[in-house]
Amino acid sequence: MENVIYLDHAASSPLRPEVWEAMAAVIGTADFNAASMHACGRQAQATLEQARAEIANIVGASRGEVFFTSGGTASDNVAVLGFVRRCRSDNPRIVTSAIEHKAVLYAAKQAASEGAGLDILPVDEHGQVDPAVLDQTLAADSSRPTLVSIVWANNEVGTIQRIPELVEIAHRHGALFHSDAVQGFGKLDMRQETAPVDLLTATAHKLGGPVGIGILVCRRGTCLEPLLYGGTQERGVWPGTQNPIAAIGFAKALNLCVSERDVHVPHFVSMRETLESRFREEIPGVVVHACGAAQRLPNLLSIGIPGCDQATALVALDMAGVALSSGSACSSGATTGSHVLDAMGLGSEEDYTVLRLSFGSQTSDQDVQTAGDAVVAAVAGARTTFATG
Amino acid sequence: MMTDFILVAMSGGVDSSVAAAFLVNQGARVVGATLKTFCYSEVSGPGQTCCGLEGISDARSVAARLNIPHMVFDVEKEFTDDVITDFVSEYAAGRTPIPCVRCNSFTKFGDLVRRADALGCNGIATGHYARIVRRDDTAYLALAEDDRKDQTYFLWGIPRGVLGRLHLPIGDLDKPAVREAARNLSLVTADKPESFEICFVPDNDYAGVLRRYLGDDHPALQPGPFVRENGDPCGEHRGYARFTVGQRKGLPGGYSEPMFVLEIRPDSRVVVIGPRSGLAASWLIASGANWLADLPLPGDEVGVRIRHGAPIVPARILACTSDGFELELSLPQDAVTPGQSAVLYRDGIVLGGGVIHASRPADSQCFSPSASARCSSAALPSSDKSLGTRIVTRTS
Repeated sequence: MENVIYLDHAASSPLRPEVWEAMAAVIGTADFNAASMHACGRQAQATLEQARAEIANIVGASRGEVFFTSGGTASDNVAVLGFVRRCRSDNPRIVTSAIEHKAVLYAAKQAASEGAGLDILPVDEHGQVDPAVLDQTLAADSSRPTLVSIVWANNEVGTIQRIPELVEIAHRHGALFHSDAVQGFGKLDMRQETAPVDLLTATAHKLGGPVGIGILVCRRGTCLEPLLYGGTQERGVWPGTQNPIAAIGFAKALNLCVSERDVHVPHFVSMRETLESRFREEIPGVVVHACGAAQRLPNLLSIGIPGCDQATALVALDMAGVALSSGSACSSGATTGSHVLDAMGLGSEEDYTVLRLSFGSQTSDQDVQTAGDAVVAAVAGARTTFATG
Repeated sequence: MMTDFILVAMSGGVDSSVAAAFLVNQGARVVGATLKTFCYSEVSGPGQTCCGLEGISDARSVAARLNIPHMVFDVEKEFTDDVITDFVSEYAAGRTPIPCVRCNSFTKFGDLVRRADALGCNGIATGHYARIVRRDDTAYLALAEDDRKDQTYFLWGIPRGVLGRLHLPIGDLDKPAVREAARNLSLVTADKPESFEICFVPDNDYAGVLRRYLGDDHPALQPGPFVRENGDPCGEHRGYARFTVGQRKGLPGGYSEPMFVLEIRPDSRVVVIGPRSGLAASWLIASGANWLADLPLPGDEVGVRIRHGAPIVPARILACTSDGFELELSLPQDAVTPGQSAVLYRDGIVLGGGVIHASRPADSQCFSPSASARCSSAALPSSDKSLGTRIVTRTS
């Protein structure tokens, strides 16, 4: 989209040209069925395995621990439901947080409806899970097989959880640990040696890779029941004909993201801080979500404006050529109440507008400047009551 | 000349798609908006949610094709308060409401105006089959070119103040022409089948909606007696809310001529049935009125439509206030049904309308002058829930 300032990379980050080139380079050799016996199939499989190895190397896992899926939702569902169904006869339990992505939250609710125990941990006003609460919850019932699933970085407000500490607690109680790491993947250090999670969800299209491919990193020895039947691809974790071209795209995007991290992350933080201080000055009553969290996603800024009509503000921004989101929208495009803000005790005011600005590798200081102008103007136009604070 | 900047309500159907396209082709700056009025997850099976609503997705596709911005406005709460709650309580009171009138009167146009103002749009537009005509610099709502598709019956309750900035781009076309235009523009909605359902009543199962909101044990859904006009019982029904005046289906059989519902008496749960001749009425009172032109005066001859698709018939105004009116029909009409609208016309212009509150059979004694006067004094009730009261509030 020409002439659009795109600040919605947390929703999907456009395919990077280098990724496109890497994918194009294997067309003709990798667009076959990787399960086929013949030379073409072998070539496709080799490409797939090359991608798997590159990704495994970056996350500090072995090749056999990386499973390709169709994306974040698939990986989350396999992790949660695959665990519960695998140990269904042993009275399993899921412990998760109130600010998970719905792919985890609703999979957990489905697991509960299939008989699993379910504990949903609260968060503080910055969206942080208190490790002590996890500790107590696990200590209260340590006899059952338990999967703890805590989002690494929240997709709406950007809070980063203390994953290493939470993993340590879970393991101390004999529980497995899954993290939906879709948002921070490639930007944060998620190597096994830093945080030895048992299961990790990531997806390619948040880092400039193709839509439709994700991974579940599954530490050796962690057994999951398949959700789909009829194939043994990905060792049954996510059966169905594999997509080597998308896998190469994912690996390329991740490689780029990690190799540029030292340049991009400080730039993201600087743009976020510039916008944040500007909004605090120019938008009366603005609330910066998760600003008190110990760590926040470098490339995401979420603000709340009480007394401002959200849909009107979003249309005005759309017309001004600025693409961002409210942080919580169903696929119809209608903005909806946010379970994340609810859990943080925020957003209950009348006409509470949420705007989420998220950056990608191509985002420039000029983009942020222009978008900031548009946000300030749109908010002023959509103000239903004027906050004076 | 300033370019028109128009907010178009896009339902995801072919009519509003073409309306938006016409405005774009005329050079206006256009923004599309779809109102999400309710969430399907409450009324259908698992997995079906508002996110899957075909209408919203189609409207977005059309907006992308026309290269205009498009937004979904969530008016679920307002729609529930203004439309569904009224729908349910009207049926519970033995009347037959028109939710589309309520939606246009309260939810849709009011919301569009508010959004348009916030966005700086000077115009709003919809894909209704109706027209705006200007006489002496005043805008009036007028009948559509295609009389069979005319939708003015559903629009009498919109705020009069809207007319001056309202665009109805397809009011001069008939349906085949609209479809032809949509095909020429390659709009995905070109051949979409027309919906005749009430949007929040899937499969036309309105009794199911009533059950959900009222509960199975509500008197309106409890068995009650069928009686003839003379009071003779003639069977049992499964809840008076399942019936509407003029209905023929679901009534006891075995009569020499077809039976129709003549009256519903909620207090005793009685549904009165009788032959067609008992349906004729030549007098009615409407309440909750809204006016889109100067009020008619007693004695004025007007045209009135008492049902969507019914012909406009001559009538004489007996009394009229801002809140309601009483009129005499020149020819008796069948099934003048409480809860339906009575819409008044003159020379193709919509004067206004109201909700039918009461009617009298063609042969009623109420037609003596004194009785009529008595009816008038008791008529034109203006409860705080009435359309008129709220419209006056909004446009004042």
